[in-house]
Amino acid sequence: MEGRDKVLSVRDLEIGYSTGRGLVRAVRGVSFDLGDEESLAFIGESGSGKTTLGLSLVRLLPQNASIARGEIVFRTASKEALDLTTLDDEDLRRFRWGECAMVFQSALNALNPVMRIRDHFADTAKDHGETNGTLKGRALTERATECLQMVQLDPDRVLGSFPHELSGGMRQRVMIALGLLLNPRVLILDEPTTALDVLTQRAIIEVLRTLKDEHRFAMIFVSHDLSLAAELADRVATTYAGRIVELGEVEQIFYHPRHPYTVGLLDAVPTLAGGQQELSSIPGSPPDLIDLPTGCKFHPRCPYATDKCREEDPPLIEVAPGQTAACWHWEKVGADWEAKGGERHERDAHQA
Amino acid sequence: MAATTGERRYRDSAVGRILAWFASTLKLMARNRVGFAGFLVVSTIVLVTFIGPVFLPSEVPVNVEEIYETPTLSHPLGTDSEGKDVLLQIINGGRPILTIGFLAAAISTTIAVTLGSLGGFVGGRVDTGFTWLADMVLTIPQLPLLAVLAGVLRLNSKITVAALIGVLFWPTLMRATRAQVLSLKERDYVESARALGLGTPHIVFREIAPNMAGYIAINFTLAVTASMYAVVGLTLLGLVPLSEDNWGVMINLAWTRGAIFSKDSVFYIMSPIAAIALFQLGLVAMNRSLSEIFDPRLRRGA
Amino acid sequence: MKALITIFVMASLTFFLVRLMPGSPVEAYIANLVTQYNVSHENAKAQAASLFSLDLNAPVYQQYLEYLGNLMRGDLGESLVTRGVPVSEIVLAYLPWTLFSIGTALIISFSLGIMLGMLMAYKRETKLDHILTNLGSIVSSIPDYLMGILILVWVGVQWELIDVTNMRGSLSPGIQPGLNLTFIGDAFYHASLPILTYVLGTIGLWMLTMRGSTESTLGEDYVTVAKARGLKERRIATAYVGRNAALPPFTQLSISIALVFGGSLLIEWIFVYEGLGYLLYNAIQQRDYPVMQGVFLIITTMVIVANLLADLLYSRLDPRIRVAGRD
Repeated sequence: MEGRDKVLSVRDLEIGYSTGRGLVRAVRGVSFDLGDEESLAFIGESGSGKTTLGLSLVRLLPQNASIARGEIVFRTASKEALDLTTLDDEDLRRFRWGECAMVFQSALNALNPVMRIRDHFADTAKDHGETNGTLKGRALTERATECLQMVQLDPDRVLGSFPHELSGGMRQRVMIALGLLLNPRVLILDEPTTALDVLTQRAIIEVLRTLKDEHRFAMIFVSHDLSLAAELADRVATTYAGRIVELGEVEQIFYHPRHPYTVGLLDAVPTLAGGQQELSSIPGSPPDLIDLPTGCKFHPRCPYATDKCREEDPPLIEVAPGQTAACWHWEKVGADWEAKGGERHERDAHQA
Repeated sequence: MAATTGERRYRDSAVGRILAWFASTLKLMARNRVGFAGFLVVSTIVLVTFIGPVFLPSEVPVNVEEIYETPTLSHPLGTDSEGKDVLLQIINGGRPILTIGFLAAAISTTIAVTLGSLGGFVGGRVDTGFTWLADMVLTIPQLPLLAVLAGVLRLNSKITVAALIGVLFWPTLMRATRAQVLSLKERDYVESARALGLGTPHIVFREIAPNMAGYIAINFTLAVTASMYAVVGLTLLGLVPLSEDNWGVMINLAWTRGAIFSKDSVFYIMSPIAAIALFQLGLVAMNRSLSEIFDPRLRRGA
Repeated sequence: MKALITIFVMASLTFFLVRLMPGSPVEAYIANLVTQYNVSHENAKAQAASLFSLDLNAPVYQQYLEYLGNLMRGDLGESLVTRGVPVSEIVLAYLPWTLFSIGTALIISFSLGIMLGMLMAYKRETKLDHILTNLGSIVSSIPDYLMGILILVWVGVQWELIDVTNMRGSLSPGIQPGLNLTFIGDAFYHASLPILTYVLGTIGLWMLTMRGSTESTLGEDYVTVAKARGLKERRIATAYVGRNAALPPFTQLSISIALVFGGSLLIEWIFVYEGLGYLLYNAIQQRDYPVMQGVFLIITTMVIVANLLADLLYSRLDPRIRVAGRD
């Protein structure tokens, strides 16, 4: 990474859930850095551990989950380094939303049904009063209005409403606006467009793109939707079975993927323009996180699998400046990809 | 281990079948400790009060020498203001109350299930009408109405009393039944029955009703608690001129004879109250077992 | 609205009961006058007519209409036992005490109940939870009037903690109603045992319902999001969890209201508290039919009004059910 300031550093994070059937290893050694104005997308199927990863960054994991190893270091504006895994309750409370806001999937029920939207803003501001200088009264209304405008909502209409009076898309945008209220350094969005209709998805993506271009904070997207990454991310990490299997700048991932899983994901996205192509999906299904396969976890579904893959789990290997992939055969993957006409994908990505 | 013909004959006989049914019921109830305890309490009380009087004198002897005695071996629960043994009275006094309770519960359950199922299933005006009726009956304060009716009419048969109570207590169960029916209505087996052209009564009574058996059982027990509340209440007010001594009458007499305010007659007062309370508690506890049996989602463990 | 119709139906029902049933009170009264007091049938009818505010010579439907008309004007007839005193006057003298005791009891019971219920949900499966759950179950299994007797017997007589005879009646002799502390204090003193009984009788329901609804509210998305928003624990507990979890128990209020009014019949009798229940009981014993009819009607009306108020309050509390435009 270039000399940008890092706002988040994660090293060797391992998270497990204890369930009746055994230990579910949801995150198995994830490391990454996040620059303070960068957007990073985590793309993967359900069960790849990406949501767990997101939750862990604000320490909102459910009761039966625990961080087995690893560290999460957050750098505040004053250059202080906070180890998120050891924060005490009160500091954690202040950290949440104030420094790092997480907007969840499906905001349909994320707002208190008996409170108006403006009260949600007031609540948030009030309980973060000590660190930010209490934002209230007219100042609060102004700031809330500003935030709502940033997400392209009409403040006059929205502030006085109750959640049930707003559509799903509007509620999602309210959540994003709420997230921006305290000027966090990092915004985490978990599946921001899932469960929304196509038009609303478009609107949200526009909103997020504007935010990204105009405001100075870092964003982490967690999604299964590759096109989201194409639109909004600076860097993309594809995740599989609890690990990052490829990480790189967005163009590198889309035009020059080096991991079979990434290739599979790219191939599986049908394009609107362009001629008929064969639709492919990745054969097989995601592994059981309690009883993982040996060696490389992707090998049962991988067309390039060899004995080495079955025995040894590859680490992230640098395949290009700023790009890493966890595959023993990345060179072959790359060669096949370039040969197949990566150009076709280039053209489609431009149209996205 | 092959069963001998003798054993098999025994097992298949009526007695054998009844015993087997008992055993399986006990096993079902035993799933939940609290529920099982409740079941035991309820069955014991029922057995004692219904079968006990067969073996005991129906007239409790008056013995002026032993007024308000504290418990002794010969009078385990003491005596009342006329020297009558309290325990005897308790054993004798349960049946009338319980009979009316069960009868009234049966009546109200029948009304509720019928109206609820029909209304829920048929829908439309019928349903609205029934719901409306239920809401109205629900708003009427039951005890005062019963009291007024008791003052105006003459309540001298158990059946009349039971009927009156039953007619007032059905709305809650009817609502619940209706809700269940509404949700079951959309299920597959109902759809197929409809597709087969089976008539409404058939669908209601043969397809839907059996799936609500548990629900009905639970609400039946609750109805019994409610009816007992009403019966005992009425007896306390002296409005039910039943001649036998029953638990309610015992409390009533204790009141009118001023037993409440004297220190010695604690057992006389407490015994019927304890009996009633125990029975109610047992029913409520038993409900927990019933809920578990009929709602597989609540079952603990496998 | 439905409420008015119910009242109307109840009034009519009472009319039929009193007037038309064979062996009805009116007939019985007339018969009584004729046989016992040797009054002529005509005179007996006339007396009955004035007492019950009915014109017995007119055709039934006319009597019915007159009856309804009288009701609208607040004329409930005259008492049989205390001659010449209009029922409405008697009822009005007893009504406030019942409203006072029941109202206070419901407020206390509900507030306490939902607080305990929430506590139990937060401390699920701990000893406290188990103790409270079982206590709640036991207390709610005992019929409220028996609870009243138990209180009398144990607290009053056996342990001599309270002077129960002194607590009879709704007001100590000599104290004048007024907005002063002595009056209010005295009123509470006399009402305390009935209130205690009502509270014990209904609190179990709130506790258990609230416990269940709090448990499910705790799993709602907006609670998790509230934590993610870095809100203080106390704020989440009150405004996010409590406020929403209290809604289901609130819907149970109407059932409680009917139960409590019903129980007042016995409870006021037990504690000799001069409210409507007490009045009704005496009227039944004395076969004072006009009073019985009047009190019953008033009690039913009170229940209906109370339910209406509860519904109104609920719509204020839950914005989702407010009818559009009525805000």
